[in-house]
Amino acid sequence: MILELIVSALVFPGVLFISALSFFTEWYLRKSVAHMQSRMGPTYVGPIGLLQPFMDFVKLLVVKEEVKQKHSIIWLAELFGVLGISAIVSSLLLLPLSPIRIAADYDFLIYVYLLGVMVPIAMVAMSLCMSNPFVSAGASRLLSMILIVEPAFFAGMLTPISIATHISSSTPVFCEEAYCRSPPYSIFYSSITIGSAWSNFVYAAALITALAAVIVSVQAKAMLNPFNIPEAEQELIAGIKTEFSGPLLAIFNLLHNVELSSSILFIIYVFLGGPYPFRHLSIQGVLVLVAKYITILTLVAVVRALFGRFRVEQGVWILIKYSLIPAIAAVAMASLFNLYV
Amino acid sequence: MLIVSDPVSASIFISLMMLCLTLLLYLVVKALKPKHSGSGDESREMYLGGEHPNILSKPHVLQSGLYWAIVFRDFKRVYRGLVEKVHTGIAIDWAYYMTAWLLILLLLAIIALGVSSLI
Repeated sequence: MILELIVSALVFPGVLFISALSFFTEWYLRKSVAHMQSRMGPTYVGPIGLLQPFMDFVKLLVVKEEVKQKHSIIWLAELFGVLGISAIVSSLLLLPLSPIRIAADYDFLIYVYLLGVMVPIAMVAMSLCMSNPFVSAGASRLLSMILIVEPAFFAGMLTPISIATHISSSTPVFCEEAYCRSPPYSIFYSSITIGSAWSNFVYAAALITALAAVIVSVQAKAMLNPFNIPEAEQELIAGIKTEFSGPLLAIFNLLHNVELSSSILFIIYVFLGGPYPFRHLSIQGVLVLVAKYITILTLVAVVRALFGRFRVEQGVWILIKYSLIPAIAAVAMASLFNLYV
Repeated sequence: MLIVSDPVSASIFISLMMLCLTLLLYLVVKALKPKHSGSGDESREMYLGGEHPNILSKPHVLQSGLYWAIVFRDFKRVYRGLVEKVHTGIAIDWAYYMTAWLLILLLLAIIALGVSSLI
């Protein structure tokens, strides 16, 4: 079991896998957006530039100098960066993808703690370790976005989890000597149950609404156009990452990409049932999983390519209108329907 | 392998794992960093787009002010509604406001009772 745990944490779906997935995600976003805007995108390293994000990371981490600024605390910024990455990697153990899977009553709250609390705190604290007015302005913008984005994202994610809990409460899937039941509000059990909910018209309507809301909030969580407000290149130099360089910039970029990749992975499992209707260890299952990932990623890329940057108050209101309110409406619709079915 | 446990044990287990991973990754980063990186006494001034650092001594908006400015601007309509319609200084307005809230709460309580009796 110890060996399986080490493999899960460090190799699959741990540090190595999620890092590789995040490099692919960055490459796909850059390449597809470049294609939509009649540019070439990454081309230099690997076939069609596939290894460019990886080499950028290695160059920043191993070769480039970390510029020491007078009022900065670089070691603390690095520590917060790796704390954020570790929180994301640890949360992957809640998915059916992992060799070691953890399920508990209300483990959705552990997921909220890891991705909704630890990661934003790590990101804000990391940037505030570098004293600079551009960084402070970027961090204040990031805090304003977090105020709306995180509740919207997790309200959206709560919709399929409450539906799956209701469905699985009538069909027990976990048995022990003393009792036979499925843990409520568990990511693992929601992932393996949610596929069947799409056949119900009302559930499907709630799930589509929540899925749209969650995709909008992922765009903002990942600070991609039109929500690249905290970075705001040129307007705020580079916003929260103005003073980052060398290994610190490598850690920040990795944290940013890993957060996006893991958010999409959780959406695929919690909303779309992962490889549903196939099994994990089948060719069809893997193909379906890849197809779902690419579809969501393409949606994100299209939105990124279509829009320019919003102003701060514009971004906040758009998030309230198209992410927070639909997410709350979806979870309310699902909960009311659960009461009467 | 599937581990089903109680929420407290699961939280402790995952938090410990996060802590161990943090330490391990931090050591890896330290080991891989170029040795000359961030060392020595050669520390630079902060990047201010070519301006002299003296510019920071001029009066400027506080960091917390940037946050509250956005919150106040976004919730201005709510604030105006509260100031203009509720806190008018007229006692009867306040009585209307409180009565309306109590009626809404009463309505919610009746709905909740109805739903719980159905279940």
